[in-house]
Amino acid sequence: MMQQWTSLAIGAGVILLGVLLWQEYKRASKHWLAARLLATTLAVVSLVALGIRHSSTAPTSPGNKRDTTTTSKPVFTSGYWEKTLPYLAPMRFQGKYHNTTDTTIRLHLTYAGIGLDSTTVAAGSDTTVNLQTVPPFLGSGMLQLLAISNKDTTVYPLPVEVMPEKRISVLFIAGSPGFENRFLADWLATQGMPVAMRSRVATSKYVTRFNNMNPVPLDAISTKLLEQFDVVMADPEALTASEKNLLQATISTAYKGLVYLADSTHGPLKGTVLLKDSLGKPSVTITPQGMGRLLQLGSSNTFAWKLQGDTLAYGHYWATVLSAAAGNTGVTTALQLLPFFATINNNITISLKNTGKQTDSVLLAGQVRLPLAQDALLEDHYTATWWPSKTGWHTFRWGTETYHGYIFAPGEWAELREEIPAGVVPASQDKGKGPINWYWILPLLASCIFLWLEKKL
Amino acid sequence: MVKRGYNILTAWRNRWIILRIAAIVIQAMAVALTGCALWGKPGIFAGVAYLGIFLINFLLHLPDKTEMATWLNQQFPELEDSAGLFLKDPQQLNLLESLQVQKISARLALLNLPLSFYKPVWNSLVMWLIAGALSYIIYSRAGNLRPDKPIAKMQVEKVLPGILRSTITVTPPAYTGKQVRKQAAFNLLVEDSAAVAWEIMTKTPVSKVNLLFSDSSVLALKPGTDSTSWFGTKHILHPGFYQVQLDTLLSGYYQLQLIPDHPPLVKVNSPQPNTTIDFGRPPLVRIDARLTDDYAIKNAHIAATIASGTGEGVKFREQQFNFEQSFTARPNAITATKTLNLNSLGMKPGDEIYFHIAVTDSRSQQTLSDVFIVTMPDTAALFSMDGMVTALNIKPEYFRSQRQIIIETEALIRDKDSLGVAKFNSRSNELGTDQKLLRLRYGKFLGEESETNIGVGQHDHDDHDDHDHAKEPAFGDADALMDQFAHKHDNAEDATFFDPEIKKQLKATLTEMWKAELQLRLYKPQEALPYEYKALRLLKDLQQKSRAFVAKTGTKTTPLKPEKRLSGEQDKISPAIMKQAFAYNDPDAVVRAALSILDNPGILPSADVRVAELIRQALGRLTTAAAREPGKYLASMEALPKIQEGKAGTSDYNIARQGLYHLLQPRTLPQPGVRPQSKLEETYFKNLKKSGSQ
Repeated sequence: MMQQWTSLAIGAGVILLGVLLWQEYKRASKHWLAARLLATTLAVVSLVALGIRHSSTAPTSPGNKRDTTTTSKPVFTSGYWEKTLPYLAPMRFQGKYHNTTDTTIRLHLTYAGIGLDSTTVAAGSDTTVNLQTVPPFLGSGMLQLLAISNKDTTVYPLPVEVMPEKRISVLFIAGSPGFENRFLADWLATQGMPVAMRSRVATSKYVTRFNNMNPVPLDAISTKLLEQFDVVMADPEALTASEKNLLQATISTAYKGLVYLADSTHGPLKGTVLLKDSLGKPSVTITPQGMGRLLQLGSSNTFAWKLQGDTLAYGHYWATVLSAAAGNTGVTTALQLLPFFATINNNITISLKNTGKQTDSVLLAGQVRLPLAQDALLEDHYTATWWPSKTGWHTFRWGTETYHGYIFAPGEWAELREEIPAGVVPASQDKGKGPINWYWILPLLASCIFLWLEKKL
Repeated sequence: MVKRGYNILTAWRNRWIILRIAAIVIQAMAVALTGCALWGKPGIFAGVAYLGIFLINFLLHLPDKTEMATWLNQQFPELEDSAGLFLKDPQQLNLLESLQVQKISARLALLNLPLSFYKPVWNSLVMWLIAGALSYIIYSRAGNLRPDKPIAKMQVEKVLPGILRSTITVTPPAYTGKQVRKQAAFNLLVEDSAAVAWEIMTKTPVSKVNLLFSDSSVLALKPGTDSTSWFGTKHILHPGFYQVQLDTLLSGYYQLQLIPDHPPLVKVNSPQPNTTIDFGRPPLVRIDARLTDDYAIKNAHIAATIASGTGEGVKFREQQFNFEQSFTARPNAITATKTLNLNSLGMKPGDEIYFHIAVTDSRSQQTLSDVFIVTMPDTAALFSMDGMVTALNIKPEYFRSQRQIIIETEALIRDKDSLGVAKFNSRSNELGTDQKLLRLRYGKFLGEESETNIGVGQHDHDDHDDHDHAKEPAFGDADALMDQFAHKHDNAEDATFFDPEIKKQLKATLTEMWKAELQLRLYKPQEALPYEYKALRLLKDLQQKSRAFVAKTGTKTTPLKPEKRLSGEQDKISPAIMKQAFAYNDPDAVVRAALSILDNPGILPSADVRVAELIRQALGRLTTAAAREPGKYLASMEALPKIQEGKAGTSDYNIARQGLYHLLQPRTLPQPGVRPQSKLEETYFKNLKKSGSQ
């Protein structure tokens, strides 16, 4: 509308100018011809400038995100996924999709053209989207999210790095030999996890078992013993009060997980629900204990699943329980690129967290040496500034550690990138009512006065 | 003068021809467009064919100049039917003619061609518009129907440049009953055990031609008269892939897919797995089965075993029956039927027949169906009280009633002749009443509405609050009888302590009683008898079912109480120490790492030793899989070396990754997270503890 008015005003101005100039030129008296023509031109230009509102010349900001929701293109209004994942852990993409079109849009999570998960967004709706899959690769790789409307396909890259496999060492403390513990220990041991088990058979006699580790005395539970394990699976009845206290104290100061096996003497499970059974009742709960975690199990016959041959369900159950119990055990360092959608030829902040011992003050981004600045308040937090010149995966080296980070191309996830440079105020929303430039009245009046006077003189 | 007129006429004729040709070309393009929308690129040939046919037709029937003159005469009256004069030799014109030529040639120069002259072109353009609209509709509809997944394109197979021609003759084995077929393509899809004959013609004489198979066997083709034609035959017994070798030159990999021959399938529609033929029912069993095979069914029969007698005296007799249908035509699907008459097989009440159906296909693969059991219950055994009185504390009178009814019905049938019609009918009706009473008793268990009845008259429901169990129930008083075993603090609706399965059977029993009662009331005790027997049998079954079973469960030993037990001397006890290390190796780690390498196209082919080794191992996995399922993995197996050599396109990366992806097995593993703990949290927690302890 605004644009039309502007062109209309300019068009009318040009015609008016032509007519007036011709009239001036045709006049018999050629007195002050050049000055008259100039004055006429100035008068018409001023008149047109008064007519045109100022706002049409205001800069439009590319980072003005709200605008995208009013255009006809369907877009993500938010999107997030974990860029770094443990081995065999599912990648969960969560986002909000705004479908502005009048057709249903299908969202596909794919890898190399293989559909892994999908959902639909109904026409004209604003829907939260949840998609998940286990990335098939080990190391850095690329999943893709396809938004398919009738014929258009938009590709959104989902770069993910899968960390190498890690071992969780588990200590079992059992009140009596039982199938549940034995099946679980067997399952863990065949996958290479260090396992130690102590089952009481008499007052002070224990049957012990060690898999993938050297035997250690298990008769007495001590802090030193517990240091060797990431997760402790204990039968609450098998522990004396002092042992229980020691366990609790160790767990709460050492990022470890303690799993209490099902116990009929306990009441209902307490804490946040981690897993529910088929009836919707809590089956596993988790409670933070200082720096560690306490998990309570509601059932102790999962070995029956294994006997029935349902190995996958058994695996899912215990992978969930033990992963939750292990927490972030053994992780000392991580690297993150900021902003989330780090784009080529932009200022990228590399944020490095390190709780272990590391002394190098320089981070290598490919061949580029980047000095690291330690945070003034958080001693384990370092940052560096970087301008990537290539898209795709980049390798970073810091001392002996290697990290990976992905740099997006300018067209990827464009709708979610924040590109408002500092200091630029987003343009006013009401475009239609810009202020009139009243200062143009001066040249208009001056020209008119000149032309009037010239005729009189 | 004549010359000028002749020139104009010729020029108009040429213009007309050009216009017609242009029209045909435009029409052909329209046809090609429609064809393209319908069939894709090959559709263009429809346009080419159209152009060829109409152009040749037009050129064969070109109008001559006389026709043109005639057309002009018709079109323009001012030419006074004299346009033909321009075609004559000027010397041969007579005076009148030359005068006429002078007159009209001036007019001819002034004439304008009418619009209708250009009509063919306009018509063609209209055709174009229609074709365009049609194509758009087809295309947009096709767009809606487009499949979600990218269609895996069959790759055009690459043939060695030295090969002039190849003919592959596939002779399907006899069991398929299929014809010999020939193909030129090297990718093979053949029946199990088919004989494949290769005939390869080379452009120049070569010294040897070999076929290298994935099971590392080599088929050396034999040369013909000159060294340009080569022959060889092989029986294909397992799937895989192969290469053609000309001298030292190796071709790409060709698929060798096998169509397996599945054993025949049997679907038995009737009878049910367990069938009971009640007393009084015709002793016939109709067997109805659907037999299918992928090629042909050679034979099928019913193998039956008849068991007679009980306990130690049981005897078995085996017998084989053919179906009523013949299998000489070797159908690949047939509905086979057979009716067995149990009496003619010599079966008596109490005997059982077990049978299964055996089907053999043309490759002599046999399938046996499940075993079906048909029982003829022994009516005498139903009356026996064995097991009933001993196993459960049952009150026999409720079950005796049904037996009593049967006995009396049989007695009634026996005495029919001596009783006379009126007596007979009245006794039959009485039996019906008894049957009804019994049904009402059992109906109580299901919470059915109670009916008070004849023997007692109207009965007050409320006077049972005192629970007078000692009182003997009056005959036919269902409520009073119920009191003996039902605890009546609640209404009948709540007396449903049976599980749904039992209730279902109880309902079925009641239905049989209904039917028996109906027949009795119609004075047809003979027809009521089967229902009575069935009701009795169901009741007996019920009685067996109501026994409770405790399912076996896994054992979990109770924790020992050390303060009470095993508190003696334990010095000599040395418990076992189990120690074992597992050589663990994640089989899919190689494939997963290779996938990550393929996801970073920059890494290959200028990769380091470790990466090259990973790709080599992944290729090994793919090769093994391709030998098993060439259709699924062969393309990936070919794409991966291309990537290694740096000769691959984007599609090769995708194909390689798809193949590797399908190799992965689902697996779960407990893993710790990836985020390091923050020092801030740790400090906070420590300070919290400190302030808490102060």
